[in-house]
Amino acid sequence: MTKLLMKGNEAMAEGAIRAGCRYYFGYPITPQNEVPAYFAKRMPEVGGVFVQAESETASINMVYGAAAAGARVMTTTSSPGYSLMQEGVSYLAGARLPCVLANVQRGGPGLGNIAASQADYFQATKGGGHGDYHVFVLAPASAQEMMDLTMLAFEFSDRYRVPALILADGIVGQMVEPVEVRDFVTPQVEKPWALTGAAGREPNVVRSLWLDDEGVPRNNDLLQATYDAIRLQEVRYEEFLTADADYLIVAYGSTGRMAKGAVRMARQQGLRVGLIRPITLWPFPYRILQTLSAQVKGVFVCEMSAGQMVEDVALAVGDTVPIYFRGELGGRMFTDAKIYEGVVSMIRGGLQPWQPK
Amino acid sequence: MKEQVIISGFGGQGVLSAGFLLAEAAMHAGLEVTYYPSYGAEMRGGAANCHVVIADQEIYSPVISVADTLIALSQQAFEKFASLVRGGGTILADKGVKVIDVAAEVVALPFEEVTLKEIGNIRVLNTVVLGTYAALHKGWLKKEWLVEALTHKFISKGQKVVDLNIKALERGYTLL
Repeated sequence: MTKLLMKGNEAMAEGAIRAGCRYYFGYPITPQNEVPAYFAKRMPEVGGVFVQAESETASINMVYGAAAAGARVMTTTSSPGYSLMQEGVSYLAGARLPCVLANVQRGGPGLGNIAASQADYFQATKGGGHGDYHVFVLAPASAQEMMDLTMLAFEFSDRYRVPALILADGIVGQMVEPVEVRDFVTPQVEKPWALTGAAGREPNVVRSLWLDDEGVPRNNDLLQATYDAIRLQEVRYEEFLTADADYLIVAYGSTGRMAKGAVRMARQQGLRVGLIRPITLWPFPYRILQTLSAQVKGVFVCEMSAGQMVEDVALAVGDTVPIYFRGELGGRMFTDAKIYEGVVSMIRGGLQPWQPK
Repeated sequence: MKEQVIISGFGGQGVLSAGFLLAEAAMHAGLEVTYYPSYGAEMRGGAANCHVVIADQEIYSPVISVADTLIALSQQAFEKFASLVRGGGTILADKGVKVIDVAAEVVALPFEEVTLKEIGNIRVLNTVVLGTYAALHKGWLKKEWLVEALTHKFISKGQKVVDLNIKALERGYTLL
C-alpha cells in the first residue's frame, strides 16, 4: 500500500469522507483551517455538502439538523470555537444524536494564541456543556491516527448514539507524515429513530426536552446505561515498554509521542521506563493504570496544561504510588529531551509528588 | 541514520516547499519522515520555517530541539535558529547573512547571487539550496530522489518548469 504525505488536519478530513461523512459545517479558525479548506474542495467531488457557517454556534446547530436526519456529519474547530459550541453539544448528547466533532486545541484561555495546547481536557472529558453527559473523546498522536480515529469516531458515535470528539492539538493538526489512506467504508448501523419522513409509519421525535415528570429522568437513565457499556467495551490506549517498567509515563496526543522518545532515551541509559498513552480520554483507561500502579515506583504525567489529565491518573492510582507532574502552558510545548529530564529528576528524588490542590 | 533539519527564511523564499519536497523525496526512498511547518506568519516577507526529521526508524518528536542542520536564508532566520544546531552540526546560509559565532560549522555560499545570475529566476532559490544540501548529505540522500520529487511536483506546470528546477538543483549540487 503506497503512503501519501498528508497533514494531520487533511488526514482527518479524508478519514471522515472515507467513513461516509457527506455533510460538513464549519467556521475557520487556526490551527485547523486546512480541515474546512480540504472539505470545500473534496465534498463536491464525492457528492457531499460543505457549508461555511456564519459562526461556530451555527455550525453545531447545522450538525444537529443533519444528525437528526440520520446523516454522517462533522464539524471541526479550535478551542475558542469549541467553547461557543457547548450548548449545541449538550443538546446533541441529550437528544442522542451521533456526530463527529473535532477540537484542534490552541493556547487559551480567551482568544489565546495559535500554538498547540492540551488545556481543553476538562472541557472535553468532563462535560463542557450542561447536564450529566459524556462524549467519546479520542486523542490522535499522528497524521495516521487523525485519519483512523476519525473513522473510528463515526463508528462509535453511530453504534452508541453518543457524539464523538477528536481532541487533537496544533502539532498533530499541522504536522505532515506518511499516511496509509484507508478504504472507503459503507455505514452499517441502521437509524430507525432518524427524521426521514413519516409516510407509512409513526412520526419519530428527536428532542432533549420533556415537560412531564418522567421524560428527563428516563433519558438520563438511558444515557448512563449507555456510558457504562462504553466504559466496559471501548477503552483504547497504547502501551509501550511497560512489561518490566519501574517507572511509568502517562501522556496523550502529541505529548504522548514526545514521551515515547523520552522512554527510548531512558532505556538507552538503562532506566526501565514505560509509557501509557491514552487514546480514548473518555472513556479513560483507569484500569490499566490501576494495574500498573502496583508494579512501578513512580508515575510521571506530562501534558500541555497546568494539570488536568493528571486528576484522572490520580483517580486510577490512588495512594499506591506517587504521581509527579510537569506541565507546559499557553502554547509552550514539550520535547522528548524535556520529558526525559523530568523523568530523570523524578528517579533521582528531585521532584515533589503531585497533590490534589 | 537520523537527520533533523530546520529550513528557515522569509515567507516567499520557498522554505516550506523545500522542506516538503525533501520529506517527500525521503519518504519515497523508504525512510520515515515528519514535517512540521510554522503556521502563523508565512506571508511574503514574514518569517517562515519548517522542521523536517528523516530517519530509518520511528520518529517520535516532529519538533526539533537540537538540529543537525540549519538552512538559513535570512539574517532573522540565522539569528533565531543558529543556537539550536548542535556542535559538529552544519549551518547552510546565504553569503549575505552576517555570521555570528556559533557551535556549528557555518557554510556560507552565494545562493541568491548564483540563482539570479546563473539560473535567472529567484523563485528557484530553494531548489539551488536543496542541491547543496544533497551534496552535503550524499551518505543517505540521493540527488535522484530530489529530481524525481521535483518532476512529480512540477510536471503539471510543464516540462520547462521541471527543467528549470533540475538545472537549479544541479547548480546547487556543485556549488560547494
